[in-house]
Amino acid sequence: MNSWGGYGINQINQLSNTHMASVIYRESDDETLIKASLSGDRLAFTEIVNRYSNMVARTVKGMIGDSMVAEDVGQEVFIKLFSSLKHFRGESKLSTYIHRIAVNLTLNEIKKTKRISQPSLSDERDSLRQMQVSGDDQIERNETKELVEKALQMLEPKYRSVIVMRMLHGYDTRETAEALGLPTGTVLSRLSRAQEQMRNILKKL
Amino acid sequence: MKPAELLKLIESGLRPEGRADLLSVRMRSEGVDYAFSKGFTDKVISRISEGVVVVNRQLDFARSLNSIFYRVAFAGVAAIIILLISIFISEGSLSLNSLVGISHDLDEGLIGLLTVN
Repeated sequence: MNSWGGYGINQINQLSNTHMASVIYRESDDETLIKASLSGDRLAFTEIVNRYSNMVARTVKGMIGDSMVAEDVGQEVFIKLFSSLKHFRGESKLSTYIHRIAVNLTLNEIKKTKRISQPSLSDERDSLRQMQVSGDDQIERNETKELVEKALQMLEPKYRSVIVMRMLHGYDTRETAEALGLPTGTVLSRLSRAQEQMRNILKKL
Repeated sequence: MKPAELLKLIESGLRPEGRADLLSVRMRSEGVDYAFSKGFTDKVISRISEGVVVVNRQLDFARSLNSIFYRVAFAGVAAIIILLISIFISEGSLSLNSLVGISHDLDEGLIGLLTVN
């Protein structure tokens, strides 16, 4: 008898090999994963997606907001990464490369949807007043998240990306410059203007 | 967190010399963090697989078109070579006159050709 529980021995071997491969890939470095992905190993690319999805989510959702559009942009980031992986020369870190794709695609999406009117400050104040009812910790955390999200949405996109890198990723100026592909001086000036804008927005909220 | 508190926190972390790493940790503890929905990875992989299938189909079509082109080109070249050999055998040379088929006419002038008979 060569089958067990409806599975043939080859399928069982294949499943255990798949499991083994994903366990091995979980501990592999980026270079190994890239090489394996380029040779057509889907599990290796799955590991890349798993490894960097939270990072991309912070960038995309931080800039666009927690929405279905952000989910789509997130998917596009990894599809773009997959198609351009053969051009990745390893001169920078994979995370930096992914950051740049994520920021560019997000800025494109923001440009596309720019015509859709942004929420006015008075609307924001009303919704925040409605939120400030319960003292429950979880609700307060949600309120903070919503407050940050709304403030970010009101920032100019180029300032938004700098703030997201600092505030959500915890990057210093050099890391922010690297992730965005900008000179350090530009990051510093954008940071200062972003801070000013953020101050005005939060004071009004 | 109130807007004023949040502003103070953000300003402390956003200064060039400020600790952005501490700010991000604090933000996460305040619930300001993002992740994609469940099944995100599967969606990405299935979209990539669909794309790969389409690309492979396009590649197959291009490859078959390429092989058809080579077959036609080889057949054409073979026909030209056979034609040249047959002209050489029948005419004894591959001069322009032989190729055009007027090598046997003595008078090569146009009027001669038109009035010889």
